[in-house]
Amino acid sequence: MFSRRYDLRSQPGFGFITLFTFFALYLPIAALVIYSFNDAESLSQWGGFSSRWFVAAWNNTAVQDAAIRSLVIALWAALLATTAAMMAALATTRTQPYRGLTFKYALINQPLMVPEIVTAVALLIVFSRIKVWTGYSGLGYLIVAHTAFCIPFAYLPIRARLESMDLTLERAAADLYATPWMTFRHVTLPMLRPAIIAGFMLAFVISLDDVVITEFVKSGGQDTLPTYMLGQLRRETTPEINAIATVFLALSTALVVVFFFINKRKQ
Amino acid sequence: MTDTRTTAAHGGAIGLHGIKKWFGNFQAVDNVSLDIRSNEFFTLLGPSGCGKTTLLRMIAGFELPTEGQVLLDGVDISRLLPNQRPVNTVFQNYALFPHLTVAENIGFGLKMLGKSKSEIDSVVKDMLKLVHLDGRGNNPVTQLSGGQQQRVALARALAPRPKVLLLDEPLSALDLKLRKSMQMELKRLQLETGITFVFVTHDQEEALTMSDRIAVMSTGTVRQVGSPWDIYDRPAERFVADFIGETNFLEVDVLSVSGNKARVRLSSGSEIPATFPGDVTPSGKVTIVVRPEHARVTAPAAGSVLRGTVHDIVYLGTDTHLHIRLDDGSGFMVRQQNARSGDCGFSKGDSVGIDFSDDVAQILRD
Repeated sequence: MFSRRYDLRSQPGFGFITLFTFFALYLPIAALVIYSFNDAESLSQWGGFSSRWFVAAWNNTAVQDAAIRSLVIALWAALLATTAAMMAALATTRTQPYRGLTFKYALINQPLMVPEIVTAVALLIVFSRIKVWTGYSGLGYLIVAHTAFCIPFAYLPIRARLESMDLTLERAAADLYATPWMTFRHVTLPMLRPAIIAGFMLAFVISLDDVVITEFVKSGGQDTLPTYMLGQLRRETTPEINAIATVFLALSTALVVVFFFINKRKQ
Repeated sequence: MTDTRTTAAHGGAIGLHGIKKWFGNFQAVDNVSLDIRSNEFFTLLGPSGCGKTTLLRMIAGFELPTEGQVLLDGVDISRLLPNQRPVNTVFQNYALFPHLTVAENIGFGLKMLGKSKSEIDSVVKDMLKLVHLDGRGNNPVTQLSGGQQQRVALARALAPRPKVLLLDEPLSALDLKLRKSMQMELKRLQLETGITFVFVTHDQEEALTMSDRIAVMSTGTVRQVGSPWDIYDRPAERFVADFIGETNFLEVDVLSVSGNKARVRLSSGSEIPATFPGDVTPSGKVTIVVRPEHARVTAPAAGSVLRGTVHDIVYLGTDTHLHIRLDDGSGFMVRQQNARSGDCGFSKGDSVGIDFSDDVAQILRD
């Protein structure tokens, strides 16, 4: 009786709020996916089922280009960000607390708090100078920029895992003749693996998704998939954009599912 | 592995010389010097916060002494990293590697030492047998019971044949029955392997049961070192007498001293012999201790050492505790073994006399 009364599900309005939330979250996405199979050229007028927009998108070299660029940037950014985040997490947890540690946390998580547009403008100004000095205008700028804002996303799960990890394990390894490097290699790293994968995937998805910073930092002809889509919206749009978004969605979902199963198997 | 067992029959000797350890403003260890002999089962016993675990960690290398030296077989190892010391630890929470199997846990030390796979496999097999876990090598450690995890932790620490095995309250997480059987097990392992064991505990019974010698510690200092018999029957000071078992303290006057014996007068006027620690010569007013099982309650008689009335009787199955109110107002407890069923022969309010067995009174240093 008691538990029933305090059960969240029996609170008034629970059902309505739940339904509303699900609709608000998933109805637009469902519409987007459905219209990606629209045979007509319209985004709102249904003209029968077809997968022709997927074929069109697949054959569109601009989309191919942007997609590959997005993946390259996301892979590099996630790799670099996860490495940096792991080192930062080790440095901030494997130490006696000291004055200024909280400040360091804030510093590492700064990209979460500074408005993205501010970072974008700042990067634009700095990178344009560097471009002039060095003459280099490749993908490096985008990779560096993405790495920077991906670090906190990779950092948080790794730090959480490190904080809950029993320090005696590392001590036990040292006791059993493991050098600091061997301790890291044989104990810390294997135990961190799920958190590292989580951090990597989070960073990857965040990079894949970015518009604002990419839009400011990219040189001509360096569209990523999101900035390409943004560009398309300025012109006449067809369900091709829906098709791209649908593939994008499927890819992200697949990543999350894969990660879920990796984690589950570990336990 | 049987061949290395003979070479390992020389456990390492640990020398602690003038060890001091400060944590900020707190002094955890205050000038401790101890010699732990080769092949011995040595226990550091004391209440929590007495510095025993800190001392153990300094032998392992997890803490560095602020001052003083740690010697292993005469060689200064104070500044070596934990992985450079031929010393292994059994941790209080076992600290087994959860991502490895039982066999991988046990073989970890040898793997880190770069031993061949075949050697590791054969040692692991021996170790599994030694701790009665044959056939469990491929189990994940997370699926073992507390007692089994304890055995894996022991096997893991013993597998690299350390010169000294450090045990940090390893039995405290086990239930009473398991703890008793593990006590016997530890003693057996120590005798079989010939490795020097340094055991840390706050449990006096555990210490008395297993140890060859015990160091009783309090507030960062060693109060007394000796065999379990020494510590129990010949406590040198009040802390030791009080911490180990139950005891009676009596204020007495020293009448005469000869050899290591003194003649003392109790408040009742009786005169008895008492032993004293070698490093003091008692005089004037001193305190003696008499263990409750070293006294007998009798009918009041002119020759009784003490006289009083029965204040309370506590029946404990194997024993009965008789709480006596002495004529001078202080309390005295006698433990009487229950040889026959039924009552102990006395009831509350009875006037009684108390006699001591010969040579049981011990004069305290302070």
